[in-house]
Amino acid sequence: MSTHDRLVSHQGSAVLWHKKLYTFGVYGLVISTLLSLFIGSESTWTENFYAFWAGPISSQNTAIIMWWVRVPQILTALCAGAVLATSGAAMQNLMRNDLADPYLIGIASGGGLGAALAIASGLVDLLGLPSLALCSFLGALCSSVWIDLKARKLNGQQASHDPALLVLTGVALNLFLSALLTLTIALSGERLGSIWRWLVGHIAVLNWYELGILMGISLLSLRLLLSQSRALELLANGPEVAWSLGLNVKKVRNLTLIACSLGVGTVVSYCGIIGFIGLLIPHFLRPLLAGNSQQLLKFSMVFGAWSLLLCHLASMLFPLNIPIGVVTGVLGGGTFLITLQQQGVNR
Amino acid sequence: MTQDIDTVSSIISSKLIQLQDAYAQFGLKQKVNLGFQAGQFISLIGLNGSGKSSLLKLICGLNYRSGVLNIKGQALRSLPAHKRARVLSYLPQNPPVSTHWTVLELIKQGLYPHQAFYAQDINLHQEEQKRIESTCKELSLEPLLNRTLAHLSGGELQKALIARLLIQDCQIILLDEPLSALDWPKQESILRILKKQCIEHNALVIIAIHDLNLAALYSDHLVLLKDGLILAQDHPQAMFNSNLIKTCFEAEALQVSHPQHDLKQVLPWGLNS
Repeated sequence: MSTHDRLVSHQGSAVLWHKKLYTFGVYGLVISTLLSLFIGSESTWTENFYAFWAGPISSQNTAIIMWWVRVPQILTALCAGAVLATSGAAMQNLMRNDLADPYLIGIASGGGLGAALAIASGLVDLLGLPSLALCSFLGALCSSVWIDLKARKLNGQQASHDPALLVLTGVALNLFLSALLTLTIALSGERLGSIWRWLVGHIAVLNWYELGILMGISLLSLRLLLSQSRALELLANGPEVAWSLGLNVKKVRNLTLIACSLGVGTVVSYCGIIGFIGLLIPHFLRPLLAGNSQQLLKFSMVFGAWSLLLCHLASMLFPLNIPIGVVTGVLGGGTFLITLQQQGVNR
Repeated sequence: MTQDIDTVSSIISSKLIQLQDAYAQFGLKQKVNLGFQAGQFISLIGLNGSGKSSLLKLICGLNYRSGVLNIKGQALRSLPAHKRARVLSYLPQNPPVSTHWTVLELIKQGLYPHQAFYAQDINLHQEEQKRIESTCKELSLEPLLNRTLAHLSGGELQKALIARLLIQDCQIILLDEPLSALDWPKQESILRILKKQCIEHNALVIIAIHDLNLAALYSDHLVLLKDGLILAQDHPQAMFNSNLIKTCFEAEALQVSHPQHDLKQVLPWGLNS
């Protein structure tokens, strides 16, 4: 087999297999969306189907539930899943650490603290909903910039430091911010009374105005991140090699941090702190995408949206209607533990 | 007067890389005044921690604080990133990589500065494909193309990294101890490939290296470093004839003549010295 054949066949097979995987993800996403639209405990799927076509203006009970509860919830889950998984993958490339997940390293709790402060201080009542997204964005940005500085320091000190070190730092930041968040909630009294669901993460029933803000910002953040996917792949070479390959490292880093904070902050301000999606999805995709790593962000987006929708479906089918954060926490935490154990064995 | 300035500037611009009173951020304790021409093969020699890597980083702009650092008569820092990456490539020692990448993927990264920023597809132009093919053949990387980096030995990874560097196709090539993980036939073959770049493509190769003998055989110039200072810069022959090697390494060397070249080589002393 000549080099030429190898090159061609390798590219061909990789492309084919990744196309199949992508199609699988997209079909799965569509089918799950349809399932969660039309399956429910209160009404049959035919009723739901007619309710869907009745449109949002209809006064029918099922139509109101469909258009003011189900559809917004599904769209929220899709946005949240896509944003969390994509920013997880981006952060992992940026920090050269496969464990860097926006939830685990404290970016989500930074956004949560910003959102809670905005609500507790009455800023949201005063200035309206966009200020909530702005405050959580600022909170997320502060914690992500801080953790990025830490990561760069750690990466600079040793060529190959222990990846757990950064995660430990992030966990410490996460605990600290969570404590502040709890303090804010405790001090705010009634304003944040029903906050516990939000703290564990749940798919809220948003009105269409809120949904518009969430979707707009999510799409912007995803667009920014996807435009950086090639650059982020190169950045996994470390800043020096990325620099010598002609990458504007500073620009890519700033853009990524801003886009991640924007997306994660907004998602957190509406859905609370949903963990582990950003860790799990890239973790499973990375070995599958060998030979085509620059597509990681795109695949993460699709599979992240899909998996969070599945979690949402699972939480809905559960009789007690448990918060989605519990579902992702159980699945994610378990997988995380297994992964850590395997890594320990490999060492 | 103007004529003087013209001649001075023409001398400066005849150098591919020009450093004048250049200060480094770390690792070097003096102002650096060096100039290198196209087609030269330069080796940086010195003990561990003598400032070889710092000097390399200074030359490629990563360790630059002040002074003149020009490439083809233009200030390096003023060049936009992708333009600079078409002229100057740099391979640090043990750079981090993602173990999920395949060898082909790693090599293709070298094409990045030559591609438009929106070129995200993985289909290569015919020309690019040919370049990758010939480079892989030269480095005998063909059987490894589909392997992920996690399944490579240290030497194979090093070869893949050098292949990426060559694919980047720059006139200035900087390498930080690229031979450390390779077996000795491979060390020489890498040096031959780099030397070929100098001769055929008029490239300037600057390399930090520990092996004095290989450095003497392949380099046009040796730069001797000690404790963050540049001790000397000269032809290998002149270097070996003087006492400089001894001063630099703080050890007496057992020197013999190379049977085929008009060169001195260093031998280990052994026990019964």
